[in-house]
Amino acid sequence: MQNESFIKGLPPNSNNYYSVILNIINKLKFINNDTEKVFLEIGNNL
Amino acid sequence: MEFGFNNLARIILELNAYFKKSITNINNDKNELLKILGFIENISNEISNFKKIVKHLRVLGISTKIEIARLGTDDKGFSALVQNVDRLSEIIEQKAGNISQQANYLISEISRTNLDLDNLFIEQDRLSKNVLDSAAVSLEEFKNQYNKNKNFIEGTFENTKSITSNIGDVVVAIQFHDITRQQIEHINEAFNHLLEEIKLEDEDTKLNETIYDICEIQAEQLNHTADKFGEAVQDIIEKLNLIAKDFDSIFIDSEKLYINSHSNGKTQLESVCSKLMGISEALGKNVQIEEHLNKSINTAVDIVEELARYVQEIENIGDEIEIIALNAIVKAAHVGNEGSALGILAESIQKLSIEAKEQTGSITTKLENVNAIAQGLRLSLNNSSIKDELISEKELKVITDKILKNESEAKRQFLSLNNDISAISKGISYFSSKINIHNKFLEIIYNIVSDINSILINIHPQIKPRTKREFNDVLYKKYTMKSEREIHEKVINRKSISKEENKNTNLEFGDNIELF
Repeated sequence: MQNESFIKGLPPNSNNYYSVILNIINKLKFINNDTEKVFLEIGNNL
Repeated sequence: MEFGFNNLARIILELNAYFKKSITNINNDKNELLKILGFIENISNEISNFKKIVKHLRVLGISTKIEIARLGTDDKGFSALVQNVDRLSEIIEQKAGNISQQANYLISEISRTNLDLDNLFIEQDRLSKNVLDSAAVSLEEFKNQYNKNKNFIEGTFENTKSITSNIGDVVVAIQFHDITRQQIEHINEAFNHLLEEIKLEDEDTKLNETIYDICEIQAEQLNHTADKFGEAVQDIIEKLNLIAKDFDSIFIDSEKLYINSHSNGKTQLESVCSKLMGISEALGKNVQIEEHLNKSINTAVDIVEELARYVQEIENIGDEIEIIALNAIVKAAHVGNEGSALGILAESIQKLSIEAKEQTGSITTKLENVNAIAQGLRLSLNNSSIKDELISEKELKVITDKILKNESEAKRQFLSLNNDISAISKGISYFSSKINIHNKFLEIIYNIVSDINSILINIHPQIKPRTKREFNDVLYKKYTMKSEREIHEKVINRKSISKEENKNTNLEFGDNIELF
């Protein structure tokens, strides 16, 4: 994964930041959908 | 319910009063029957006197026939006397036999009724002292238990209030996901904005500063979001556990309620009913004995009337013979010395007729006494009849059946409710123990924060401290929540990472920090 390769020591340049941030955005999108799922599950079970 | 209690208590009181009164009545009836028995036994004894009279009359009749033959007279007055003496003897013998037979029948009937009364006395005394008193106590205990249970249920209602309040809290916590989503959406927008900046900005230093500032703020926003989200889910779990606990306590309370209202496998109300059913049977038996007593009294009255008729018949013949004997005495005097023996015989017959009449008079007096007692008993029985003044055996059965049906329905509903409560409690506990999806969510968030921190640590050595440069504050206007603005302000007012802080931050990143 791009993020992991960055953390493990790619040289600090803007292109790398760009791909890491893109990765962060994808993760954020993913968990935003999940947040809804978590609470909907609790609500439905109640 | 209160009305039912009072009604039941009233029935028990009335039954108790009835049985107590009945015990006194039984004693009175028994005394009266014993008096009748005494009179009848006397009459039975007096019948033997009639036998003596009959014996004497027969002897006198034979002697008169011999004397008539000796004198060779065919005077019709003497023949009529002999014929009437024979008839009187037969009638007295026959009627006395009837009287004796009927008197013996009456004696056995009254003795049997007396035995019934003795048994009734024992039964009613038992009912009054044991069954009804204990039914009243059971009812009182049930009433107390009912009031206790009422308070208990009101206490349980307090628990349900707490459940309602906790469910409200859970619903509020569930709504929190909208806030979380909104915050994450804002963070997302900030990073999208940053991507645009990266595309547009040529100058490395300026770009690094922008990346650093936005990342630092968003890491803080994400940490805050994760904390609040974790708290919300934790709150939901805790509240669910509290709800389960409240349901459990309702279950335990209602178990107690069930156990308290039972003794020897029966509820107090069932125990009252089983006693009332015993009483209902006793009432049925009572009615039977009462009917039997009534029948005995009527039989006594009928027999007494019959006896009086027999006695009257004896008395009538006695009168007739007395006159004929008087006539024979007069005729004997006309015959002179020759008829003196016949005169003596006629006189003796007259005396015996008078004796027979006296005997019937004594029996009549006794019969009148028996009749008066029997009539009095009949009147008292009619006045105290169970059918008129008390609830009937059938009505009592209807009431007890109704109570038992309600009791059984309540028991069924109670058990079903308890099963439901137990299932809900178990279900909630199971469900709350399974809520762990948020951990995965938090893991990803902390993973993102870790990515952001890596960027920060990477850029930090290449930029000036924030106090010595301009801060890119473009995001501030986009916040919609107070908490977001507070975090933003906290970050921009913070001095750049001190050496000490840097050291701590390095520790958090473990092996990764070696790279920078």
